[in-house]
Amino acid sequence: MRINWRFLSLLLMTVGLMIMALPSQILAQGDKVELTLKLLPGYYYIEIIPGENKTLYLEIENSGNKAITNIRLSSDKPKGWIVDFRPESIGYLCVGSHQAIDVNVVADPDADKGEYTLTLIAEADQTRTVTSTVLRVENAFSLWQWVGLGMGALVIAGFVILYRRFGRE
Amino acid sequence: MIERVHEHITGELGTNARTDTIFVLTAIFLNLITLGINSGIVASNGSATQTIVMFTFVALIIIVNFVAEIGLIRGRQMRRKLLNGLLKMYKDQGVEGYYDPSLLSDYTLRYNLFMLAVLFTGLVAIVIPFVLR
Repeated sequence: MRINWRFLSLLLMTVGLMIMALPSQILAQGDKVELTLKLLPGYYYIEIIPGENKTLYLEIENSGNKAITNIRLSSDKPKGWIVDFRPESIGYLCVGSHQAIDVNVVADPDADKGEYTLTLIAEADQTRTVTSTVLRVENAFSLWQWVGLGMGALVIAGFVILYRRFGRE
Repeated sequence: MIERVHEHITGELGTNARTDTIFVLTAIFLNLITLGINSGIVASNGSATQTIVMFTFVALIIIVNFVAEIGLIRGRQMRRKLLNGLLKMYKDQGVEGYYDPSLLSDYTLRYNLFMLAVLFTGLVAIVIPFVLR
């Protein structure tokens, strides 16, 4: 019997490739680690007053197919701001499960009016996920508003003086 | 002669009314224009130059409004004097029954309302941009 070496080598190569590729493919599917962070209810633009506490609701989900352990929560925040997480960490999050987290944000009492970006970070043993939101600082009563009201009061006072002084018949 | 005086008084009353109308319309128009300009300045990121421009416009509003208010007060007094003269003339001629003296107080009320309109549009033009800032 004549051996077809070309066919045999092709067959061996194919088998070898399958042996090499298949377990890694199975391994890749088994190691899908994915952590999803979502601010509820779909926050994009949040108003905050300096010095006042604002609670945001963060949902953390294990959207992969492997349990995630030791999730630590942290933030990248503007200078002088305070951000607390409740709970601060999650020990174990099984596949497909969610966990709600309260994020208490206190803006710097001296923060100027404007938009600030707050980045929320979830770091686990297996992965790291980041989400961000825009916070708009609305000053309850800024210096400019006092200036405006003061000018208004001066104009009214000036008008009363004018009316009394020039209004005499 | 009395007819000439009558014509003179009515002519003065007409001029007075036109002048007061100009005062009121100019002040209100300027107030609204300045409100728009200053609100636009506030909407953009206010630099030091823009703040100076804003305060310059505020000073303009204050001056123009005060000028308009003084003009209206003087206009009201002038109208009252002219109408008093007219009434006296009518009384001397025995036709005072055709002219109701309560018109004098109606004119006073109207002038006060004009002044209030000018004052409040001025206040809005000054205060609103600062509140928005």
